Amino acid sequence: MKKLASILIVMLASFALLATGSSESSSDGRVTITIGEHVANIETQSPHVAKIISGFLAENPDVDIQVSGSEVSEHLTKMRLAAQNDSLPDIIWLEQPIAKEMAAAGYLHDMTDDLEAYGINDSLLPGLVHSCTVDGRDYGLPSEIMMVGFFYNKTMFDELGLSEPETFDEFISVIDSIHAAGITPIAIGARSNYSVWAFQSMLTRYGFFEKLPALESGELSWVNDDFIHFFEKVATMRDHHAFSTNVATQDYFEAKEVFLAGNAAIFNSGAWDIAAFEASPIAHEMGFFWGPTFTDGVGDQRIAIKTSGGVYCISEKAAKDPSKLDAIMRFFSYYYGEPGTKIIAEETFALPTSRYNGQIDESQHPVLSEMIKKLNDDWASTKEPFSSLSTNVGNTLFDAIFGVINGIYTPEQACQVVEDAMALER
Amino acid sequence: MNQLRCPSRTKIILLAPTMIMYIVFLVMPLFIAVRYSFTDFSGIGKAVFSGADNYMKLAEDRLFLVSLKNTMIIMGLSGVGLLVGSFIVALVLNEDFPGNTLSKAMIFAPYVIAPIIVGLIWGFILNPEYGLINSVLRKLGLESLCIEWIGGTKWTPVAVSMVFFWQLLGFHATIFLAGIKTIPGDLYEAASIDGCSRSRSVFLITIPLLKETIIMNVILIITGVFKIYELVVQLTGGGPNHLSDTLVSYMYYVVFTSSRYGYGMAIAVFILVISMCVSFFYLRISRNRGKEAAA
Repeated sequence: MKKLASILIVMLASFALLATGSSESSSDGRVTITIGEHVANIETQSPHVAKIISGFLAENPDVDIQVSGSEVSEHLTKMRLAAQNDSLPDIIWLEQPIAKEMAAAGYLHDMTDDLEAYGINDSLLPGLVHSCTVDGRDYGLPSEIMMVGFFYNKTMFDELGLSEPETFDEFISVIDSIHAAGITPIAIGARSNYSVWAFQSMLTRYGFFEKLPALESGELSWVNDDFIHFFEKVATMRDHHAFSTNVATQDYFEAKEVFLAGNAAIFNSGAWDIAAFEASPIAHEMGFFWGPTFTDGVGDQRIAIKTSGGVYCISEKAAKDPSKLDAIMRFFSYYYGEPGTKIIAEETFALPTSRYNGQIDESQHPVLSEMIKKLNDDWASTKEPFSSLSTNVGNTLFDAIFGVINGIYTPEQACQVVEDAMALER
Repeated sequence: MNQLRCPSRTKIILLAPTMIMYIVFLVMPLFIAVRYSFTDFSGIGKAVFSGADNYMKLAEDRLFLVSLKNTMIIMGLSGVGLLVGSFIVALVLNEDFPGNTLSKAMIFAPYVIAPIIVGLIWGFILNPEYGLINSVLRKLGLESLCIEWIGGTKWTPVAVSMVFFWQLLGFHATIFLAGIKTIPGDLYEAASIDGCSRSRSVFLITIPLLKETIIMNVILIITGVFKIYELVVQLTGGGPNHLSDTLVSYMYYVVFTSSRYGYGMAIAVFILVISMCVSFFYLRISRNRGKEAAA
């Protein structure tokens, strides 16, 4: 019986060892950094990261980098499970709500002092310093600029005699004209419930951030006049046939294809799509606007989400190894310093999160040029509401917006759904 | 000799690998799920005990009740359809006719396709905008018959039932066919000599002698319905707004998208309990009827 018990213990121990794995620095002085990314194929979906890694490795032969990635929701699920197993990658891409939860739970490294020591804060764009903080401490670096709104097909607009709308009335008038021409006004897919970026901008114009503290404390309910007005505007868009009839069965990627194929005039997206749009046949026909302003809105109406999107964090476990932490910070210095920024702007034509002084050829890169102009226009920048909510409330807000788009919820019901989710956390 | 001296030790050694796997991958997760179902665990940080709160919330959660209703609709529709349909198919396949083997292969084929692929295929067939069914109806000038097979609030559970039926028909027919093959042919011969028609012999001989097979099929259908996930995710993603979610797809959303692990585990435990209850309830009724018939 003792023998049997020994065999069982050995089997269980082997199993535990297999499950745990190891990512410590090797004895020959080489350091291996593991990165958990939010895209399945880094070369095609985040080419700037792939190129920065190549550039960094060429200059730092003592470091190896292993990247694993999957699509956003799958990646986040994996990271949650990895956190429970204490097997998080060394550098992790996370959405801000999850990053803040993980930081509060002690899974992530407080990089405040390291960012100062390695001079990374000096490189970042002023609005992107301290992108992800918990109790005033930094836990994340911006992976990209979150700059969201409506891309539109200029050729279609010109053919229909339309101009870029600013007010909600102008916006509805544009939607009516496009619909009357037999074209889908806005391509959007409810199967990707997160693809409501421009609608989040619209919500900020109804005083979301001014109301947030009262919403969190319970002094104010989500069922308030301003938020009802916001959802009423979404319902008005729906009633004016702004969305395709198959919005419920379409996802974000299909909606993008519909737009790029010229079957829709407007697409709700953000700066991360610049590279894809640059490569499309309608790159030179593309315009961008921030979304409508409202006469019944709250506060400054010329505000837009120009902030940090997901963030790169360091696992607490990795930071305990000084040589690994140094290698990680050197990588970040490269990423956010001049070499990385140059790669992002000049080789992969995305918006860098750090200061960039170079010139972009407008004729070669029309979408990027357009976005840089918008980034530097006089609209004030605001954050993304989702990043300030818990994962559950954020997802419920997405569902509420699509609930109105799909005709499932009235504006009041949509507010109530989010209120119910938030009430659980007060 | 050693085996004769200590047969139980040999049994333990032989059973150990399976038992370890069973305990590690089934029993332990089950207990962990039950434990978490009494907490407010978000997947990150500490799990704080919250008593039976999660179970109390189930009754008030409109989306949970919708997913439960959808699961029951799918169980009702596909359960009846599969049981009757696969039995009839098995009776037909039991006959000798040209192309019998090919028919068996074709009917069984959908079962070997991964559910996610089945969902993909049927997505192209059922999509209200560009799907095959509605496109054909439009070409035939029957636009009024075009319905929102998926993505709408009404027909999605029916569409999922239809696809589930299509995928599992061959599997259940094969089980029935195996059962039918075990019935001695001379029973039918004797019945025929006594003037019993073929249709009557199905009711008087085949069905009563297939009782155990029927029980097995019913339990497999019930447990199968409670496991439907990929089909719904691929066909509709649970949409619009979770109105086509089944219990499992809703549980997945709650756990992995909304990060409400504790509540999601309560749903998982509910699914386990209800599927066990339904199966045991059915088994009990069937066995009691069997005893009464024997008496």
